[in-house]
Amino acid sequence: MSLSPSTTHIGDISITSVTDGTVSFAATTMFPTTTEADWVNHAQFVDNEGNLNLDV
Amino acid sequence: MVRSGSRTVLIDAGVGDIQRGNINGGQLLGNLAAMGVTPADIDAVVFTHMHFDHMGWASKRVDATYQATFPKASYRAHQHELDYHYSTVNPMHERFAAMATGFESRIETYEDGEEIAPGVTMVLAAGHTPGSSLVVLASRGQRGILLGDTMHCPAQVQHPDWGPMFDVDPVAAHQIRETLVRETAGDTLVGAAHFPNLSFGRLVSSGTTRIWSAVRPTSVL
Repeated sequence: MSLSPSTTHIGDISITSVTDGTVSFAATTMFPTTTEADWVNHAQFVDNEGNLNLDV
Repeated sequence: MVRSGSRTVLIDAGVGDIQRGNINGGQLLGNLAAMGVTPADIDAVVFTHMHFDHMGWASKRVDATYQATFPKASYRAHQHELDYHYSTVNPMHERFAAMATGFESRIETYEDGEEIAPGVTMVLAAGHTPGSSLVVLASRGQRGILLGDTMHCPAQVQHPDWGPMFDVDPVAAHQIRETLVRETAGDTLVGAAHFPNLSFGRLVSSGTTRIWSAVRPTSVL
């Protein structure tokens, strides 16, 4: 998925988020001390297969 | 990408033109072009740290050699970061050294606390890697912070003890996250490289803990 660059300002400084894509990991692999149960309350951050799709 | 004064600064350089396995990159230059920004417009490439997914476009392979992608830019990193990635302690040191041949003549190290552009200051936050740094933004009484890889997922705001497998010093990285969650003021705008949609947000109180609250950008191109 290609995201449209978006810009935020802090005073006179502009910050534009420019994506290069995504890198995916199983959440419990990325965070080895967590279990699948830990992610139930954070389901909005993982896909249906339990992967975190990290923007890069 | 940060613009301040006359400076156009690229904070980290993506994962590069890679589409395999769990990596789906290759969009950075096209997205910059869509904004009217060419590689030659970048004055400096500033690395919060130098893991592969933050320096993918730093150089590109042309025939048998690597060349800097951003032909007029200085390449900025903390000395501790360079020392680590060139060393054999880094399991990917050979790949790093090869890619770095494309830009190492342009490297200018930054110091902890150095202002690299008007209102843009690098702050050492070692843990994820030895030279990992935050980018602190301050202008006209407003304040922001770019987290680099001190956090990878908004859930870590609520659970700073959740450490990613890539932390070189897990104890120090945990301490950094605890400090960020505890001391980042609620009105400070926070940007995180790996959060969904490269979003900005704030760390807001929720009961006895703090959570991530995404904010809308000023504009969408």
